[in-house]
Amino acid sequence: MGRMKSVWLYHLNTGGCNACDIEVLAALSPRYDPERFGMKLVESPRHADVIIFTGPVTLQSLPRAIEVFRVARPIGVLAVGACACGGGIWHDSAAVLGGIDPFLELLHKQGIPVPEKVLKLPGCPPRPHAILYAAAVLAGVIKPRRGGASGQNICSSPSPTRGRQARRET
Amino acid sequence: MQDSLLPRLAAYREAAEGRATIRQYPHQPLPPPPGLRGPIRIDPGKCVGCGACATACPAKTLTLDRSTYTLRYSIARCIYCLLCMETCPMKAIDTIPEYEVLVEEPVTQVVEHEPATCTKCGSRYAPKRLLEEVERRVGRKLPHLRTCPACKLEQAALISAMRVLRSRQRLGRSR
Repeated sequence: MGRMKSVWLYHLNTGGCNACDIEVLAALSPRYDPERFGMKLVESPRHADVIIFTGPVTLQSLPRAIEVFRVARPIGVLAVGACACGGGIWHDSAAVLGGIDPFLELLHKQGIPVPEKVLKLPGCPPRPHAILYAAAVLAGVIKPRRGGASGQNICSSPSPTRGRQARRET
Repeated sequence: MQDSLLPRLAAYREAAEGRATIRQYPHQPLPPPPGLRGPIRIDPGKCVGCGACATACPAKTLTLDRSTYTLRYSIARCIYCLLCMETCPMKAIDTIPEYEVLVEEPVTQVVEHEPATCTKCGSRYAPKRLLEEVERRVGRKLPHLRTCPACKLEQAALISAMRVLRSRQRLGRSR
């Protein structure tokens, strides 16, 4: 139950360019003050409740990242940045796994338990406000706002919208 | 510098007037700063399906399927560079000043275009709206737009061959 009240964060960079990491650390600074929600950065993945996941999972960082998830058993993962969400501009690189989705798939195949709650925060990098908001949503402090976790008003519709020419015919 | 000075002065004024300047951010929404680059939205009424945005996109998160002329945008890889917005000749792409873009599954926007079929071979070679836009910009109907590039090349080759043959015949008659 302690995990629901104050969420301890572990910051895992899997070969990103450090822009997201700078924003994560800015979001954890006294200016944005996430300690009012009991959030703090921990040094060991064994203490972590939530892993803040940045970077596109390079092959160099892959063994360490797997090791972190093997010992951590987090309740949630927050993928911060375009790289962690879908590979970013490196998505077709040979040295990159391509974000958190293939990584969690790999973990699942290896028999390592995958955290059930995975939230993605795109942006290159996202603002510290957005990271604070995402961490608060993940900790259950606030409810996701419209345009937040529902994502409905971000793009007009997930279903196909047809061009004017096609619409005239139907 | 200029755009950061004004809000700071406003904050000083608020503080001098005794009003609170601390915002309870995650509990209260914070309006995005002006000029924030956010995810894009494609206007399906303006888009002609030319694919210039898909060519410009560095992350290739905007893709145009050349067989069905379907434009897909996924928010996951988008780096909010807005090169697509600058490139779009129809100004069909706009940005949403939104930063609380927290998703479980990446949101996508799909814009489908009706492909034009070649009048000779029946293959799909361009979206209809793009051809209409070309004709609108030129200002008249262009009949040679109705055939695919391969048929066009074939036709042009035939015409030039016929020309050569005819000139040969003319030369033969004159001799």
